[in-house]
Amino acid sequence: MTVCNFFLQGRCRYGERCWNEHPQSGGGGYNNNRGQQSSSYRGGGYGNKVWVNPSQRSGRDYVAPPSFARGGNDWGRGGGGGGGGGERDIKASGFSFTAHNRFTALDTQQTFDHSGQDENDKLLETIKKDMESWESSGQWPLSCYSAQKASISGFSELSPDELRLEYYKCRESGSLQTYAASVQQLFSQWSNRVQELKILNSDSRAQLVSPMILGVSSLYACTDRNEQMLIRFCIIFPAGFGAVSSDINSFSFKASSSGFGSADTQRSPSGFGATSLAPTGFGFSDSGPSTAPSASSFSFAAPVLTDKEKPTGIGGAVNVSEFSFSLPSVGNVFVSKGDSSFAQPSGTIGAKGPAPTVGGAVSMTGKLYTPQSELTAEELKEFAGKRFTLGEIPLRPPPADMLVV
Amino acid sequence: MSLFGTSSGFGAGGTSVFGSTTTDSHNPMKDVEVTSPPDDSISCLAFSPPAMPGNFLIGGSWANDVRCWEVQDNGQTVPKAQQMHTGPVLDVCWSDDGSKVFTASCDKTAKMWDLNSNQAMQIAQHDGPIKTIHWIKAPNYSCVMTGSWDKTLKFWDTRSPNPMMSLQMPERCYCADVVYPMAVVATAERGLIVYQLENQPSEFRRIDSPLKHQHRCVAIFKDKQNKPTGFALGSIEGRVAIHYINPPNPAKDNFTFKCHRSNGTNTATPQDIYAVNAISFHPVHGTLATVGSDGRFSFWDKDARTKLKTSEQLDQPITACCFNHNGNIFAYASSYDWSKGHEYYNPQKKNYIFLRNAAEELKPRNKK
Repeated sequence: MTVCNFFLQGRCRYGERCWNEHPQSGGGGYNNNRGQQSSSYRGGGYGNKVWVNPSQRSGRDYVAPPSFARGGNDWGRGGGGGGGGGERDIKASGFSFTAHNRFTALDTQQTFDHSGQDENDKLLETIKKDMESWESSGQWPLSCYSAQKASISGFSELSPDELRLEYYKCRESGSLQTYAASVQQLFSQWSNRVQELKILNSDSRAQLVSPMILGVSSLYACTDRNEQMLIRFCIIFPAGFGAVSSDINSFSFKASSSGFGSADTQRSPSGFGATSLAPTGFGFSDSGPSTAPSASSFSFAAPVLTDKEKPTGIGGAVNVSEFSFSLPSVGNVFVSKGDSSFAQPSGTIGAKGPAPTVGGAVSMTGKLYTPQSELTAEELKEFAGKRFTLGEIPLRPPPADMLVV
Repeated sequence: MSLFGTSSGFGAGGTSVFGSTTTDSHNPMKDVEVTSPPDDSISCLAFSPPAMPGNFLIGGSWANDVRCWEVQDNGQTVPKAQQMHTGPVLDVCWSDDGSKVFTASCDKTAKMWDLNSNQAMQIAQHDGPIKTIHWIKAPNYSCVMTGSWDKTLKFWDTRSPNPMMSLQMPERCYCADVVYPMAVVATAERGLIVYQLENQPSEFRRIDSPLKHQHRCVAIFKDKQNKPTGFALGSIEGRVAIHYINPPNPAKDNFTFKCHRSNGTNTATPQDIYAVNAISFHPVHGTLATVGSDGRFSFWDKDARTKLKTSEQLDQPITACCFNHNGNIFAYASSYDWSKGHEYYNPQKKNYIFLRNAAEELKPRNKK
């Protein structure tokens, strides 16, 4: 049959019903790229008098575009072949897609939803895999990480050179103990964060990806370091700082069997310097209250975690805008001085990471729950509801009796 | 190359874990060793520009010194001179006429070393350690660009104590490269900024990093017309991204590739991933060399997207590399890069700089 000229211009009024042929060279080529059945588009050649169920015919062709259009999620991995193909072909199949859209709307609606869900799942899978490989590969731990455009917070970024310079300085001033302790703390922070991200994936997927919650979290990040509530980016259930080994001198990169770069697959899940690190720092549902660190030099008391909705926690990220190992109190090491990147009101995924509520005197003693009498009516309403509403998330913890375990 | 094995004075061999018992794994590639290497890790290497006859190599180290060797055509290296800073030296560069060497150090200063008079004077001051230093030669100005961990990028006329210009960066500068009229700076938190240097330096574009982890090194490459057209960016995650500034088809032209990893095909055991410590482009062929914490160097052809060669594994990470002006010599430094922390730091371990003939191995693969 004759090729429809209007279709070629993108303005065929009859669409499926058109008696002329609507060539789908773009769609076919694209299908070939994706390795789908290459002859599926031939059905479109029967342009006129189409009483073939359109969703049947064209559904196969156009199931993929939604995810493909956003398929750039794998932007970094293994070359740009897929992404490049997508660009070309979306354009080529532009008209035919819209032409069929009416008919396949019902069919692809689900696909759209699923692909949206798939996107999130894929992202979380990617993050999980990255965390696993990061832990087991022995690559430099003090690095930022990102799965999409913005970085995921909670990772302190330090280059090996900066760390080395600190070592040299401490060596000169004779305070190598401080150095070792600080490094150990950094690493335990890192391994905690990695664990969180690995487990987060299977427990609270939506929270990591949902921009709303991310935006909210960053909005409510407290600037006052003594304030005990720090709603952490994307972690509605906070992870307490892992207990630091009480024997600072024994810290070493090759602690127990989980040293850097070893292919030991028996690695303990708490990662680095894990000799005495109990994994209870995460306070997941089965582990009950986490233990306070036994090292006297750190003054973090890990919060008791019984409810996954609890918005308390200590920020895990270390702000290194002024990175210094000051001798007097190790707990002061990571005080971020006047860092303006704290508590960014932007909706982007926490680009700088929240600074920790570190200070010599920070402690969580006694203020884990607010008595009901102290809460305002709005806060009570929020706690009583199924979900927090954007803009109304309370800054104080809920009363103990409201917590449903 | 009779100097190999005589002047280096390496002690008992056979202590290597990786190498065979016959080869000393500190130099498995049997390359020429530079005499009198620095006593601590080498942070940077730079060869003299074409304006100068002969080849002179400058190396800065964590022992606070900068050393200069003359590399003769028969492979012999002759130590020529040395200058000191009060802190570890992080970067060095030559002026375009080859008469001056600029050195940047953790002592927050940068110095200009006049080789003829062997005098060094301070030309720059920052609030934090200076990580990168580059000489910019523009038609209407010349200056030194310094990038520091104090999050600023400053441009210095060597005659004045105040910077000509100071640009604020979002984060600490981790690495930079300059090929007039383009400059690229990679910062902490995956920041990536391109500057254009015509007329006066100004920010051209901020780029979303193609890599997921910390940036470690960056190198600009040029197109066939010898104009800078893009850069290669390496991270701590054993990955290099090739990024063009204005490609016809970004999704196709820009890509990343994995490198400096162990267990290539064996997926059973987890892979060891090493940082890419430095990237250098061959001045003639346009192919690139990467060196990593795994103690290997690799040559790549970015246009054919293939690997040309990977070396044997050295017993120490390779921390720096560079090509000489005509691409005949490839220099790389074997020393500890702190990738495994202070535990693996052995101040007694000897550091090496090796020279390799690079004329043949870096020829590009023929495109299909």
